[in-house]
Amino acid sequence: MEADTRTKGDETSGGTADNAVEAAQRAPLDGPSGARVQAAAEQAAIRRFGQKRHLPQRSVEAWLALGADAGRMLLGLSAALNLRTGQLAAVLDMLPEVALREGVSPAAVLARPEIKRIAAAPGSAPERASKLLAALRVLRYPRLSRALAKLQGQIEALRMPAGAAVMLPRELSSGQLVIELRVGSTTELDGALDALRQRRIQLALIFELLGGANEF
Amino acid sequence: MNFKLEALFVEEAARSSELARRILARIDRSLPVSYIADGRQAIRPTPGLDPFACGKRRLVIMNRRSRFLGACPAGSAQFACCGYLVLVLASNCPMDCSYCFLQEYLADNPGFQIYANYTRAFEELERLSRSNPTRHFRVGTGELADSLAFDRLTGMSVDMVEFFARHERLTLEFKTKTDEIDNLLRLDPKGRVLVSWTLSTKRVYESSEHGAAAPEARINAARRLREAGYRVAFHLDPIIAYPQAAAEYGELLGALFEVLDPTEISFVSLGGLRMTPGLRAIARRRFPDDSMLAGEEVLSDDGRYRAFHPLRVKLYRGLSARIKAAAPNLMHYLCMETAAVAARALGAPPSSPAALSEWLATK
Repeated sequence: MEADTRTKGDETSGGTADNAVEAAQRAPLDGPSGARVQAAAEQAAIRRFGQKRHLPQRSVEAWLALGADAGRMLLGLSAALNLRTGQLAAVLDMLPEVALREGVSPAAVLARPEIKRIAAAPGSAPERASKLLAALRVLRYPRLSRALAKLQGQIEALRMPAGAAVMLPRELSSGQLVIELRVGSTTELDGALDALRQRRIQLALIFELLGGANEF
Repeated sequence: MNFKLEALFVEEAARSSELARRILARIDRSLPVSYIADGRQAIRPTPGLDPFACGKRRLVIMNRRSRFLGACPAGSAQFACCGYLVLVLASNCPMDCSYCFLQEYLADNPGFQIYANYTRAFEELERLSRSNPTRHFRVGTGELADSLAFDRLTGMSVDMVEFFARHERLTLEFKTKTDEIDNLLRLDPKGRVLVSWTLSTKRVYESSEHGAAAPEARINAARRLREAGYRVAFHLDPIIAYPQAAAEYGELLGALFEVLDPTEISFVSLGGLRMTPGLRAIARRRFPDDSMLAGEEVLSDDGRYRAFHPLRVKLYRGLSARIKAAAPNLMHYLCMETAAVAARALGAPPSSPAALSEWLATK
């Protein structure tokens, strides 16, 4: 049945969402039966969009479970930012969790000013899509985001010379830094080790922060 | 506490057992009872229903085919462990905590099994004790089941306490989230029985611990058992790092120390929420509205989701400070954490598993 409702415009990814949104908006609005028709049209549009993007079934189900308002808003956002499959799946993982954590509806999350700003901002769709994911991630992991920002700042302030790099553990999952040296001679090795030794105090501060010395 | 049961199955081989006799005499007469050749048949999931939740309401009295005594399933060389030994007298639990590892561990075997031939465990314990004549062992029954949840029906605690009271180098640990202590109050543990409670904040209890006794009821049960001569201990595990966690777990410790003098507590273990990806997926599917399952956990080196390192260590350190302030000598340790995390959080490297095990078994 869904396949029968496709139009030529469905063959392009942006067109899929545009047509879906338009189709959903064209559905009659009056009365309970009108609302049911509109809801069915919106759900069909989401399923079609998911199918086009090869979105995993689990993600499509998560999308449909967001509720009509958030489902529709996300459909519009996906079209406007041309979200890729992985990005859309990530949004669908994070959005219900943000809503659950904050005790609000998914639609209320999508209506937050920082999200709306990204949707309406100038710039390329991929750039805005990345910003959307980053914004959702900050909402989903607020303390981790603050801790990461603080620690990233400390790492940048080290100003390590070429050939030596100090890296944080992925998502601050451990208390260990990764230190990478790229050297081609013992002289370069000595230089890199000296650079690290000279930054011992700053490194000690980073270890303290990794060990929970800070508020988040 | 009255946990809901929908059916009782009795394996033919266990039909004439003392345990079956006891349970049949005590259950509600309206509960359907079936006799089956193989207890494992009773625990096949019912299509269309949550098999884990259904399993909790189908009690199966059967014989255990394998050993009763084993190492703690949480133990690993990568963690600073406590040397805990586990006695499997039952499998599954009538409570349904959203974070419980049994959801994954028993996914293929979700019936609530109680083993009628449990006195065979005593032979295994005596062999263990004889072959290690200088060591003390702490042996718990609360790893794959709550130790006391159905004690009103099974009365197993009576046999267990009587056995351990006769064995100087064996300490029994009942671990529970209930206040089912009536049987224990009638017994003399002779100092060799420890009863421990998993304690959570009110917020975690209300959000995640379905069917468990309220935290204050657990603490009061501990006080009564302490007065009756039992050793008592507490597991703050899992500690869930929600935004108010530091304050509320601190308050929980404060409430505990108001009711029980900290010098009367044998130990406190601390363990952060950790979930394999599989468990996390199952838990979220079963409890989609539990915000405790949507915390700031990240995939850690051991393949489990845990609160990110600085947050977790900070929480542990704060709780350790609170414990030290109330009772400088109250033993506390971390469960399923590396030695590095333990050193950072508690301010000193952890004892070896053997030393910690000996200490916990004798304190």
